[in-house]
Amino acid sequence: MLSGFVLSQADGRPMYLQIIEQVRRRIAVGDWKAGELLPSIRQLAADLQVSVITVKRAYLELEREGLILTHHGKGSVVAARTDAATQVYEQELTTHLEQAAHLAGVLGISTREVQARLRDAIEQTKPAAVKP
Amino acid sequence: MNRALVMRLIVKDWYLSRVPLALVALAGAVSTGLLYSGETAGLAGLISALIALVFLSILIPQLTVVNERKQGNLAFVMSLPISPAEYTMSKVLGNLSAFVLLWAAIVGAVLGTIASVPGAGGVIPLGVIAALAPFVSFCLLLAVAIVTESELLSMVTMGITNVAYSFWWFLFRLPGFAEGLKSPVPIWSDTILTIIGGQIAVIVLALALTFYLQSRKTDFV
Amino acid sequence: MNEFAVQLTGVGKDYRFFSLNDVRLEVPVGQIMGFIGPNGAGKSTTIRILMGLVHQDRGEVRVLGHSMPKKQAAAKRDIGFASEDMRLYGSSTLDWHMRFVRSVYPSWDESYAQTLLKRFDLRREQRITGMSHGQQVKAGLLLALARRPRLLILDEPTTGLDPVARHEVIRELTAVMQDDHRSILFSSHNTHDIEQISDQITFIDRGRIIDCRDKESFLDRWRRIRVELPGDVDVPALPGIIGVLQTGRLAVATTNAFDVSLPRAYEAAGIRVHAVENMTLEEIFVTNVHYSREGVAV
Repeated sequence: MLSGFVLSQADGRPMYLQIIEQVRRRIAVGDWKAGELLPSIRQLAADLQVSVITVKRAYLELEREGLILTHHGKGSVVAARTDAATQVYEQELTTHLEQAAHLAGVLGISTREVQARLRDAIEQTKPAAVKP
Repeated sequence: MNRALVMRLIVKDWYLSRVPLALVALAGAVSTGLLYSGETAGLAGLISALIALVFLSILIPQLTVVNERKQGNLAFVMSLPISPAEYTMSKVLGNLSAFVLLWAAIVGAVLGTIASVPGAGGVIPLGVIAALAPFVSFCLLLAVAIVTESELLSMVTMGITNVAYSFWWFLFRLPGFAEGLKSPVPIWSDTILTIIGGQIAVIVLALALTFYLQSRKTDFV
Repeated sequence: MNEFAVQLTGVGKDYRFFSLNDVRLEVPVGQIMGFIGPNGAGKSTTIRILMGLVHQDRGEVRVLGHSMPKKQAAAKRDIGFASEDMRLYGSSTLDWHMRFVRSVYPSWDESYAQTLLKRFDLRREQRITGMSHGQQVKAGLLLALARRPRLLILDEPTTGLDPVARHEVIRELTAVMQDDHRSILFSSHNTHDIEQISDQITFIDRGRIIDCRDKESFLDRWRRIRVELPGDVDVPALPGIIGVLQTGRLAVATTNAFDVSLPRAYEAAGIRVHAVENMTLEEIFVTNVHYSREGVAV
């Protein structure tokens, strides 16, 4: 399986996190379906021109998250879960909320104000027709 | 000893020095040719044959040992699957074989030509000593070049052996050295034989020392 | 089968103005070891020792299971070596070198050599003297790679290469690792190349190994923590913090043993943590050398 991944050198995040994210996306959009075999660790490392240990680490994290299953000697497959896509977006939401909370802390904004601003943000993204 | 690889390295050294070696061979042939064309030209032939031999004695170690080190090729050679002993063997045998081949051809042609002239046999013992002199300096230079890997020390050795050639004339003062020169047949006096023996001893000693010192060396690049 | 392709234990070598001391270096089979050090730190000496080109004064060196320098002829059969100071024969063509190397190693892969010629943009019939420095480096790498050796030892393989060529070389090195029986040890000043492709990393400075671990733990353990102090106080000393730069109420603490408990400990002390930043391998390397020279236990 060709990964089609492109890693960014300018992205401040470590390489293994970028790989995790790209695998998640492949699964989320349905390119990689449950039970499908992932590229082997060495193949993906050569493909992305990164070290084997980096890909290994990404796969370990993905396994811990339950997105992939690794059978020793046989490689890794996408876990048989119907909610894989939901799971991925869920994860992303958590990350963004954590970041928002962190920034609020840096700026010294109160919890109440953050809640209010989140409510505003939700209102703004709602389609016009649904607005009361 | 990986004979096939040592042989390959020797052939490589011959190949890489093929042009200068061919030029020396040509100079030897021309010198021999001159010997046949009259007395004055004959003397010029003798001298040019000697110069060709001296040049040869410097050329081979310079090209295959000093330059290889100076130009950074040594790391390439040493990265091949050889031991230091095999490296030394390839250098000594490669140099010696190339030198001896051309040296024997030129010396053989020159001495053969002299021997064919009736009444000139007395010159031959001195001719042998003269021919062995560049052989001796070749072995000394080869030993210094391989063991020290230093261009400077090789140049110093070259200088010393070149200067030593001018002491040639002092030999004529030795009793039993020049007496037989005019004889129609070669006369191998004790003096002559002692000098030749000394020359051969230096050759053997230089080569033996090369192997000994190389076996104790710890840094090759 | 040995689990290490290269194993140096307690290796030392003395020169008049430099000595290598107690070097321990292990390259696991199937991995890439990045060997980083400033100029004159002992990288090249170490590499020469493990090639058998220089004999160590003390310590044990094993390469592919062979004891060095004694068994170097056997070891070098499976080693592809290229170094910055290694030159090919100027008066000969690349083709001559390829035929020569092929005649020495039965493992030479001619079709791979052809591919490399194209990828490295080299011409077979060109003489070495007519090549640029970068082309000569690539020619040396081609000769080492096309034999498909079990171990590649590369001293500064990407130094002096343009970005395109560097990329091609990096690509070939990572392609080598598809085979988990092969290993690579390469030294570089270019920490970026090493950060990208190495599995293991070793730092050397002034003839001593100052740090050595797998790359992910290197990147994980080193962090910069930006904090804001509650008033005119000093940043409290915490275990794992190796240096603090403080100006006014803002400070930057550097750690080489990061743990989530560290920022929590600061918060508990009333110090606000603004950010926890990753460090690049280059930053880690420079900081490491700096503190080890200052005598701080890193």
